[in-house]
Amino acid sequence: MYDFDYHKPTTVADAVALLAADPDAKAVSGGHTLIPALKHRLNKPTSLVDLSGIAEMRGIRREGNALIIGAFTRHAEVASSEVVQAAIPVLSFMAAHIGDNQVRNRGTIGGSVSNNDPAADYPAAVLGLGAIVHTSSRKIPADEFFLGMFTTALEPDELLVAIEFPIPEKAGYAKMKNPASRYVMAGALVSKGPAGVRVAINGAASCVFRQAEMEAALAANWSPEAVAGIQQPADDLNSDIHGSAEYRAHLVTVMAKRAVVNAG
Amino acid sequence: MNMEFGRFGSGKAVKRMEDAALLAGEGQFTGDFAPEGQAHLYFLRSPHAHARILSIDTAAARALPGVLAVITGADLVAAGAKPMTAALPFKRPDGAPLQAEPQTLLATGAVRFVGEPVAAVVAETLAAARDAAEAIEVDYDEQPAVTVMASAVQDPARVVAQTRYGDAAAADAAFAAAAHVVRVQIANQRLAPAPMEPRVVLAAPEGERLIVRLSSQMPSTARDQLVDLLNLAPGSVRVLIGDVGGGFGMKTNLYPEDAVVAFAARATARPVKWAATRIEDFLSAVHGRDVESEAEMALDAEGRVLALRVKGLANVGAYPRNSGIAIQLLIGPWVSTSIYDIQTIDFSFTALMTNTAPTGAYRGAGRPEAIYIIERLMDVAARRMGLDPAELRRRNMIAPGQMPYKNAMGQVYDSGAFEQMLDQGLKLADWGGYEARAAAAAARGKLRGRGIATFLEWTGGNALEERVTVAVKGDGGIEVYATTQQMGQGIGTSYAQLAVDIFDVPIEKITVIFGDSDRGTGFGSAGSRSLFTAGSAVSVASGKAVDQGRELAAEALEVAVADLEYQGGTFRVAGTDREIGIFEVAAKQPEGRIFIDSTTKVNGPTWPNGCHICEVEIDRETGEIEVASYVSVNDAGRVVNPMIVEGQIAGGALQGLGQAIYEQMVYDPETGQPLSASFQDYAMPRADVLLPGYVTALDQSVPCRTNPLGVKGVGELGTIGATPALVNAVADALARQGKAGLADTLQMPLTPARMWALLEG
Ligand SMILES: Cc1cc2nc3c(=O)[nH]c(=O)nc-3n(C[C@H](O)[C@H](O)[C@H](O)COP(=O)(O)OP(=O)(O)OC[C@H]3O[C@@H](n4cnc5c(N)ncnc54)[C@H](O)[C@@H]3O)c2cc1C
Repeated sequence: MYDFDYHKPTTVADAVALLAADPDAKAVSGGHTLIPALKHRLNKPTSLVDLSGIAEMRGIRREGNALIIGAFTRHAEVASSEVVQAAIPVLSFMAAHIGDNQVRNRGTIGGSVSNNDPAADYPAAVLGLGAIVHTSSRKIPADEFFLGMFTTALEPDELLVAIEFPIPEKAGYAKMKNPASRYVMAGALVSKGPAGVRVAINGAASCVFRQAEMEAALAANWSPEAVAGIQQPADDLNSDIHGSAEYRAHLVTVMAKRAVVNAG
Repeated sequence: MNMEFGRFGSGKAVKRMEDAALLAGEGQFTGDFAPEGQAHLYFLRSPHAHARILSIDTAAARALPGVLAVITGADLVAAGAKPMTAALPFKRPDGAPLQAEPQTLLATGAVRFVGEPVAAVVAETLAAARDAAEAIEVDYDEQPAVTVMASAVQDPARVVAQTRYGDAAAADAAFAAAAHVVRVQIANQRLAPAPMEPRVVLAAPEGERLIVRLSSQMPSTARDQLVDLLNLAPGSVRVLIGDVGGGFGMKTNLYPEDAVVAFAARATARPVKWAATRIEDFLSAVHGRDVESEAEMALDAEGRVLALRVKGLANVGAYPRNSGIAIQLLIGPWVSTSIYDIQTIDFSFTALMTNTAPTGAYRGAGRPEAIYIIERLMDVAARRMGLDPAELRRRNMIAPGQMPYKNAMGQVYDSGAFEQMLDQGLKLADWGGYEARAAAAAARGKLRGRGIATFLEWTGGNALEERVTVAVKGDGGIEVYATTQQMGQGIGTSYAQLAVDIFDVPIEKITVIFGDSDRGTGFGSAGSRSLFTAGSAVSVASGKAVDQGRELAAEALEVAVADLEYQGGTFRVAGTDREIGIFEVAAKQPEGRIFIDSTTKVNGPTWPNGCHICEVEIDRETGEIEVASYVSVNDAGRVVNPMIVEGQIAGGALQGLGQAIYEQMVYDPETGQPLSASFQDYAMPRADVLLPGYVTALDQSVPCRTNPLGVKGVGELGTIGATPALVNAVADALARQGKAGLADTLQMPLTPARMWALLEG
C-alpha cells in the first residue's frame, strides 16, 4: 500500500466535495475490492473517502412497488433482510451466494455495482430487474448505467447512493462459479414484471448485457424450454484458462434455463 | 500397564496436544516473532521469464529514507556466497554429466523465470523497502522463453539428465508376444503446494552467531545449507523453528531467499525479516509434479501383465534442484510397478530445464506420478479386455507369500497383503451395488462413474537413522527432543503416545520439543518418515531411560535390578510395598534427570498401501464433477493414533482430488508469464468438496517388518491413491457414454470446461 490521506465524511454532499476537490481521491465502501488492489500497489489514490459514516447511504426500504437499497448495504444484510426476502427473494438469494462469509460481511451493493466487475453478481440484478441507480446528482436507468468492463456512467465525483429495484412478478438467478475464484463464469438473471421480461447475463462477457433473443422467447412463453434452444454467440465472450468463449456461450443457455426454473 | 494412562498410549485416538494452543491463536509461528530493531526485507523479482540483465542501478533506491541496504547478486558473489546447485550422479543421454543451471542467490547476468529474485532491499519498514525496490532500475534484454517440454526436449542445452532402467530387449520381446498392448499418453500437471503459511524467515545476529527462525521441515538441513552457501563458520548458525503452518514438501530445502535474509542480517547487523506473500510463494517456491509420460503395458490373454514401458519427460524448472531431479528420475520409478508382479520393465526418464520455477518435493513426490500411470493403464487394459478393473488388478497382485518381494527396480517390499485390502475396499464401497447407483444417477440426469486405485508407495527418504534425546526430569516431566519437525501433521502427539507406552505415565507429563538445531542433528520431516524412524527412536530411547531408571532405583532401594517391577511410573520390589517413582529417581541424580541420547536405525523403508475407490457424478450440462463417494482401505501397518492417521489419509486424498479436478500451475507458452499465480486463478479444493460419503478404513493386520514399531509412513498415501481413483471414475463415466477413446486420453485437471468439451465432442 502507498500512503494516502483518510476521510470519513457523514453526508453524501461532503463526500462528493472531497472527491471533487481531488481527482486522485477514491471512495471506499466495503473495501473488499479496493483494499486488495491497494495492497498490491495496483492503485495509488492520494486519499480515501470512507463511505461507512454516511447515514443516507444505508438502509433497505420498500416504497410502493419498489425496493430501495442504500449503497452501503452489506451483502449479508441483503441476504438476511426480511423486507428483501418478501419483495424480491432473488436478491437475497444472490447476495447469499456472493463470495464467502467474510466477503458478505464487508462487501456492499454500492461498491459492487460501481465497480462493475464483469464477473460480479449484482450487476445482473440491477440490469435484469430494470433497476434505477440513484446517484448523488441524478437517477440513471440500469440500461444506461453499465458501460463496459469496470466502467459505469458514474462521473469521478459522483457517488452511487441507492438502488431502486422495481418489484418483479417473478425472477430467478443461476450462475456457474469459476472453480478458482468462485466469481461468476456465466450467470443469468431472468425477470418478469413492471420492467417487462428481462434477461441479464453476467460473467460471460466483458460487461453484463441483456440477451434480447431470450427475452423475446420468454415474453412469448415463460418456461425453461423457451430458452433451452437459444444459443448465445461466442464471438465477444471471455476466454481464459478456466473456460473458452464457446463454453461460456453454452453456459449462458444452461444458466438462463436454470434461472427460469429458479424463478418458478 | 496402568489402565488409566493406557488410554493415551498408542492405538488410541488421542486428541492432538498442540491443537489447544493453535486453536486459541497462541501458536508461535515465525511471523509472530518481532524482535526489537527488526528490519524488513523485500525482494525485487524478475518480471520476465527469460532475459539478460544489462545493468542494475540501485543508487536511487539506496538514497530513499529508511533504507538500510540494497543487495544485488553481484554483492553476494563478491562476498563469496555460493549459488544453489544440483549435483547428482545422473548422466545426460550422451554420457556427459548432469547439467543444471546454478542459481545465484540473487540473479546475476540473466533471469530465467518470472519471480526469480533479482535484488533485495532492507529497510526500517516493509513499505520503505517496497518503495526502494520500485526505485531500482534494471535494464533487461528479453530472450525467448521456453516453458513447454516438447520444445525444451529439442534443445540439448535444456536436457538436465536421463535415466534408463530395465531390459529394453526383454521388454520388446514381451510386447511382441503380448495378446494385448495398451498405451497412454498422460501428463501429471504442475502443482503449487500452497501451504496455509507461506515461507517466512527471521535472521538475527547474536554475538558471533546468527539465529535464524524460519518455517521449515528440516532444521538441521537449513542450518547446514546456510553455513555452506554463505561460507560461515560451522556452529555459527542456530536454526529455530516454531510452529509451521504446513509444509507438504515445499519447505524441505532451503531457498535462495532464506540465505539472502541471513546475509542481510549480518550485513546490517540487525534482525531482518522476510515473509513471502502468497503470490511470492506461487512464483518462486518449488512446484510439484510436471511430467509427461508415454506408457505402454503388455498383457497376456488372461490379463497378466508381461511388461511395462514408460518414457517420461520431467520439467524441473529453470534452476533444477537435487530433489526435483531425483524425484522424477529415481524415486518415482521405484514404485512404477506398484503392487503388481511385473518383472520386465523398460523405463527412460528425462529431466528438462525450462523458464519456470524449479520443482521439488510435493506430497507424494514421484510416487503419485508413477502410480497414476500404472493405474490408468490398468483401467484402459480392463476396458479393452472387457474385464472388471478390480479383477484385472487382482490377477496381477504380488501375493503375501512372495514377501519380501524385490521389484524390477531392485526395491524390496517387506510386507503387504494387497488382495486383502482390495477385498475390503470392494466390500466397503459396495462394488457390486454400483449398477443400481449408476441407474439412479442417470434418472437424475447425472453421469455416474466408478474408479479404483490399488497401490503402494515407498516412504522414508532412505534416511533411516534418527537421534532423539529423552530426559526424565526430577520435576516430574519427561522431555523428548526430536530433529524431525511438526508442521500440522500431529507427529508430536504420536511421539508422546509412544513414550506413554513405555513410561506408563499420563500423557500430560510428556513434552515433545522440535526445531532447535543446537539440540541435535537429523534429516528432518519429509517422505512420510518421521513416525517410523524417529518414533522408533523415541520408543527405544524411552526404554533405555526406564532401564537406566531401574538400575538407579535398584541402587536406591538396595535390591537387585531383577527384583524390580515397573508400572505407572513407579519401580516396586516385587511382592512388597517398597517402591520409588521414576521422577524421584531422576531427582536424586547429579543433574536432576535421567538423560538418554540415543540413535536408532530402522532396517528399511516402509511400503504403505491401499485400495481407494471413488464414485463421481458429472453434470453433463456444466461439466462439473461431484465426488459422490470416496472409500479407502489402508495398510499403514500398526497405527499409533487412528484419528491422526485417518486425518492424514483423508486430507491427503482431498489434496489428490484437488489435482484431479482443480489444480494446475499454468504458464503462458509464449511469454512464460504465470497465469495462475493467485487463488483467483489457481483452483484449490475447498472444505465443501468433502462429503459424508467419505470413508477411511485402516487394516492394521500387516505390520511393517523393518522397524520395531511395525508402523508404515502415512503422510502421502491419500494423495497418491485419490488422483487415479478419481480420474478412473471419470473415465468410467465417459466409457459408459460410449466414449472409451476419450476415457483413455483424459488429462488433468478435469475442469468443468474440459469435461463439457469432452461430453459435447
Ligand atoms: C475473496 C473474495 C471473493 C469475492 N467473491 C465475489 C463473488 O463471488 N461475486 C461478487 O459479485 N463479488 C465478489 N467479491 C467482491 C465483493 O463483492 C466486493 O466487496 C464488491 O465487488 C465491491 O464492494 P465493496 O463494497 O467491497 O467496494 P470497495 O472495494 O470499497 O470499492 C470498489 C470500487 O467501487 C468504488 N465505490 C465504492 N462505493 C462506491 C459508491 N457508493 N459510489 C461510487 N463508487 C463507489 C470504489 O471507489 C472502488 O473503486 C469477492 C471479493 C473477495 C475479496
